[in-house]
Amino acid sequence: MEHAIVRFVNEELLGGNGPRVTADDEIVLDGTVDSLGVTRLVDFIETEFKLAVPAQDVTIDNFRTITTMAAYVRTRQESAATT
Amino acid sequence: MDFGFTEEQERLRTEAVEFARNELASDLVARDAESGFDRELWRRCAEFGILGSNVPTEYGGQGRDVVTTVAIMEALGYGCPDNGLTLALNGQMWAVQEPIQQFGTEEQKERYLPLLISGGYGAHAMSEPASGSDTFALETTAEKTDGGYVLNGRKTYIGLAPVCDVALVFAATDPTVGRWGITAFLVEGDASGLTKGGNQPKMGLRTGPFGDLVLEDCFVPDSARLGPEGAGASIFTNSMDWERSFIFASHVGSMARQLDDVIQYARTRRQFGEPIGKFQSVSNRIADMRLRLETSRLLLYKAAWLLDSGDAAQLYSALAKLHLSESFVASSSDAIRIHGAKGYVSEYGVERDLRDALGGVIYSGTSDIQRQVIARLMGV
Ligand SMILES: Cc1cc2nc3c(=O)[nH]c(=O)nc-3n(C[C@H](O)[C@H](O)[C@H](O)COP(=O)(O)OP(=O)(O)OC[C@H]3O[C@@H](n4cnc5c(N)ncnc54)[C@H](O)[C@@H]3O)c2cc1C
Repeated sequence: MEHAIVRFVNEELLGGNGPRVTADDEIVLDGTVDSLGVTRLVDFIETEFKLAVPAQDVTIDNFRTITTMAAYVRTRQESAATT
Repeated sequence: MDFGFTEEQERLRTEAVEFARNELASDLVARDAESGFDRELWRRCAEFGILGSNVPTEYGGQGRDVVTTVAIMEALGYGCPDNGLTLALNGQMWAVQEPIQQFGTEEQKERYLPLLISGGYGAHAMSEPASGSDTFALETTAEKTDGGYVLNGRKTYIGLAPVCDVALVFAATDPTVGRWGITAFLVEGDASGLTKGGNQPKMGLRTGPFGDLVLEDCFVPDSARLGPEGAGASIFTNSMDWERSFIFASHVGSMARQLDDVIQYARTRRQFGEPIGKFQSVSNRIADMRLRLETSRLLLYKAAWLLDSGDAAQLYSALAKLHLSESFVASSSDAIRIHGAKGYVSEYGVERDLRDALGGVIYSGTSDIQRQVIARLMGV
């Protein structure tokens, strides 16, 4: 899961140019991914992992790094599986 | 794919046009000249069920879907030439009531939705003196304190601010993390520390009041927070999907009305022994107005259909906002040219549409910003 998000950020959001991000970089805080980038990232997560990300879940706790994004997706998937 | 309205939607549209013509057409030229907001017209709209159209029945609304509500708002704009009023109605419905519906607690929905749809006033307060297009650079702060937050800052150019019963205010709870530290609050109009500025005179849309909101050590309880701390930017972005998609719904109706007017005028006004519509320069303009109306409708209802389906609409809302606002300006300008001097003098109301339309390329994100959003969302 982390790999897919890392690839999306590096290839799609950053266009394959410049320094490549890793799963633990704080990409939404260090300016690598701006506001519209966040929108595209959320769209990607929704499509790739087949879940709806409500606006109130788009917080720094869930989106600080790609690792925390993947953790958020897993939690959502687990709770969907148990309900 | 079906481009038609249902029988029920057609009926509601007919009723909305009749209502607008009979109940909302009062001394508009004079009210525009003196920037007069008529609370009685607002009350009638609430009573007719405009404000509650898309609000669930358990909060007193009509519980209609988005497409139907947009169809009614378009019809309202067709029957009602008061663009300042219809803009204010749309602003409250899509940018205040909708976020409360989506992100509010049960208590917040019960407290504010019945109030707003029965004729109360709600403002959406994001813009500030130093942050317009760069929304998330806002400087208003909300400091956590016992049982609530203390808000400080100034919001500018806020629709319905002078009269608001509740304002959706965006403020930084953690200014060190930029957009991730923004939180949304529902601040009541009589909150101590909130000052509502007077109605600021403006070029157009004069019948809808707007102005500043000043927050000076304004305490709001925890229960006033809309959504979690730090989710304000996402809530704002979501609210813009709705506002940008539909705030022009009634202006599309205005464009349809303009078209009827210019067709009638081009048939009856004679120069050089002929109706002016026989001159291709005039008829070409009318053809362009029709094209703008049709393309505007397609984008408006596509966005409505997407949001009814629960799909992301950010790209379509930016396309709709850009195209509808620019089309309204272009068609308002064409309507003036076709009417000649009658289009330019205030008495006939033709020129008012252009003054009203120009605000649309600025509010809700300027045309430049919409183009950026569209390009970026396509991966450019
Ligand atoms: C009638 C009306 C009603 C309004 N109602 C509300 C309301 O209810 N609530 C609310 O919060 N706000 C409201 N506003 C404020 C509105 O949202 C802002 O005016 C708008 O976002 C633009 O901000 P600004 O005026 O500070 O212009 P600026 O952001 O200073 O822009 C000035 C110019 O620079 C251009 N520009 C800026 N940044 C860029 C960029 N990155 N790329 C290209 N060009 C750029 C702009 O397109 C514009 O041409 C309203 C405004 C109007 C006119």
